[in-house]
Amino acid sequence: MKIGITSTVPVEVVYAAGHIPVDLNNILIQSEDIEKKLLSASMYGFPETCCSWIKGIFSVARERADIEAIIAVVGGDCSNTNALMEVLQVENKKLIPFSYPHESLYEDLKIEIEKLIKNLGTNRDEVYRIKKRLDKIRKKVQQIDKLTYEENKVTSFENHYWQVSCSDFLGNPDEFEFQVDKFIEEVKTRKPELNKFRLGYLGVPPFVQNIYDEIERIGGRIVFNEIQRQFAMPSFEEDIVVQYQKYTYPYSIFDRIEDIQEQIEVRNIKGLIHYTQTFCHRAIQDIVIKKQLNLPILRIEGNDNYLVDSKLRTQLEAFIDMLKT
Amino acid sequence: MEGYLGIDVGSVSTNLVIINRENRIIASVYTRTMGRPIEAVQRGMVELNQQLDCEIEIKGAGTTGSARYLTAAMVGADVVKNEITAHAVAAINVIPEVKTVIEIGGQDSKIILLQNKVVVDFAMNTVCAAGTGSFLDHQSARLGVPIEKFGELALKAKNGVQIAGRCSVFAESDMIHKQQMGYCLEEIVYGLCEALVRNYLNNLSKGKEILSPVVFQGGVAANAGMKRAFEEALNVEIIIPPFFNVMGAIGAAILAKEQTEFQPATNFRGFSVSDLEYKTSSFVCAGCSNTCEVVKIQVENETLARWGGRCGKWEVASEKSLNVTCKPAN
Repeated sequence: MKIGITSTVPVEVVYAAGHIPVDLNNILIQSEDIEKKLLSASMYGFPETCCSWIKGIFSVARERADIEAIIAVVGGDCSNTNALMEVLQVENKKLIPFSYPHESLYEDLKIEIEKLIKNLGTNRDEVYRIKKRLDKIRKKVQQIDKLTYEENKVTSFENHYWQVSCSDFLGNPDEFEFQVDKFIEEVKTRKPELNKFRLGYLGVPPFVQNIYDEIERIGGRIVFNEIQRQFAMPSFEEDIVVQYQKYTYPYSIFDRIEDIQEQIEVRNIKGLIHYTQTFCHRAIQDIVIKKQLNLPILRIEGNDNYLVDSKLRTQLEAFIDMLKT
Repeated sequence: MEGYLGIDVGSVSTNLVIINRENRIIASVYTRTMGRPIEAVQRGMVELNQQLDCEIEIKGAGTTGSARYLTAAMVGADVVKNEITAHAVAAINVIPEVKTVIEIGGQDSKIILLQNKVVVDFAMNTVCAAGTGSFLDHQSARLGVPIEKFGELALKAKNGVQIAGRCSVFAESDMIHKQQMGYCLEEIVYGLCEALVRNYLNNLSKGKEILSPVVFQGGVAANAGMKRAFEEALNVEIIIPPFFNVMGAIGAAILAKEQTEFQPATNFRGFSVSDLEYKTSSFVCAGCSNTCEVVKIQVENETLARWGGRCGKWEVASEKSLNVTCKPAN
């Protein structure tokens, strides 16, 4: 059975139960009819001020008859998901709530993971068997990340794509690993690109599809995709609960800042782009990010614009100019 | 005589200036774009040329504004620069110690923070264009008050009435309501200025420290009521530079002048660009699944430039050399 996910979840459990996870966000962003999907959700009743990710994944879930169940992350992502879940129930989808606990406490998270295991009808041994398999692939994706910031051979978009795809391994870990291996072999033959401004990208993956191309065009390179890297579970813990405890996205901004600060130093980052969706509570976190990180930070907002517009282009160009001086 | 040309083509206005080696303005034009950037630039070039009372050799040309790439291909620019950098450069030229630039244009507004002549932070308006020049234009037309008299009228008010600032539709409804209730025009107009300043500060000054000297530029700086409203809201002196409405073009011209130190000859095609017939078109590339929309500008069947494709294969040599020579002079 295909099971949609609204954000990164312990995907090991889904595969262990013999199901195929489908990250609804990634399906949306690769659709050819994003505008139609957003309009459809608005006409269905979603308010104008609702995040386009929520509207979009609603339409994806509704249109895909092959996605019979959805794991909705109701804690640690977006509170809109609670309401989204209820609307999808009206659309006769089976909903499985999953919540990252507020303070990433081990026992609380363990209970959530065990609930998921029971809900999907699998067991701990099978989950760990799958974890071992997926960790092997994650290590290879980590190599792609290193090829980005150590050898300057991977582009901003490629760094984003391979890491963001670790939320569901594109529904087929074997095929995904094959593609990763092929990609790494090809990257090794590339010449390094040393003249790009080293930047970090913070926040949720962009709704603006070609933002990475635009950054590259104007001489920048994202050598650190903060949340996408977290989707690829970089901590490599043996205990699955600890692994998802160390996954920073669902928890406090201070945990994220600690991770970001470390990576700024490791990756020699000169500036940060902090992306938020319009109307998202995460825009408030920009206040703390700017107070705590001592680096130029450009905050940009996306809404339903899936391509770079002139205003965003101007801001990106001005940011690079600012860094150059 | 040597001159340096700067062109700022925005969504509402198109501005052109020529400066000399000392950055003094020799000629300037402020005209409306009216949805036709190519025609606006050509018209502007004619007007600019008419202002010159002696022969000028343009040694460098720079473009900025939302149509900067199109304009650069048209006229043969040596520098193509975003508006934030251009406005900052122009402000520094007038007030070297400037720390804050407030710029409100036709549809965009910006805040630029500087330290020691270096841009350290900036922001542009998000979500919508409430509180920009187009809205003031629209209200002045609705009220039957020429936009040039708007500020004068606002200064006559003792206080402003409360007008919603979040959205231009709500602001208009509020103004109509206040008129119907009998509030005098001066107070309504000043109330509108106050609302726009609130909108600007809510949108743009998030977490930013606004320090003096504060320079206010862009077309809206002509409005004395806006200057007053900013001064009352911020409790600082607001400086309006001469040529406040063409500062983007001035910045582009200064950057073009700086570029000449790194470039032996200008790409500028001459004032005769006013007479050429340009044609723009777009097509969808079917080379891969990206299906990029590529824009092309031609003159007399010669393709000057193409842009929009992700892989760059449609860029012609002239555009490639444009990109190379347009790297900032650092």
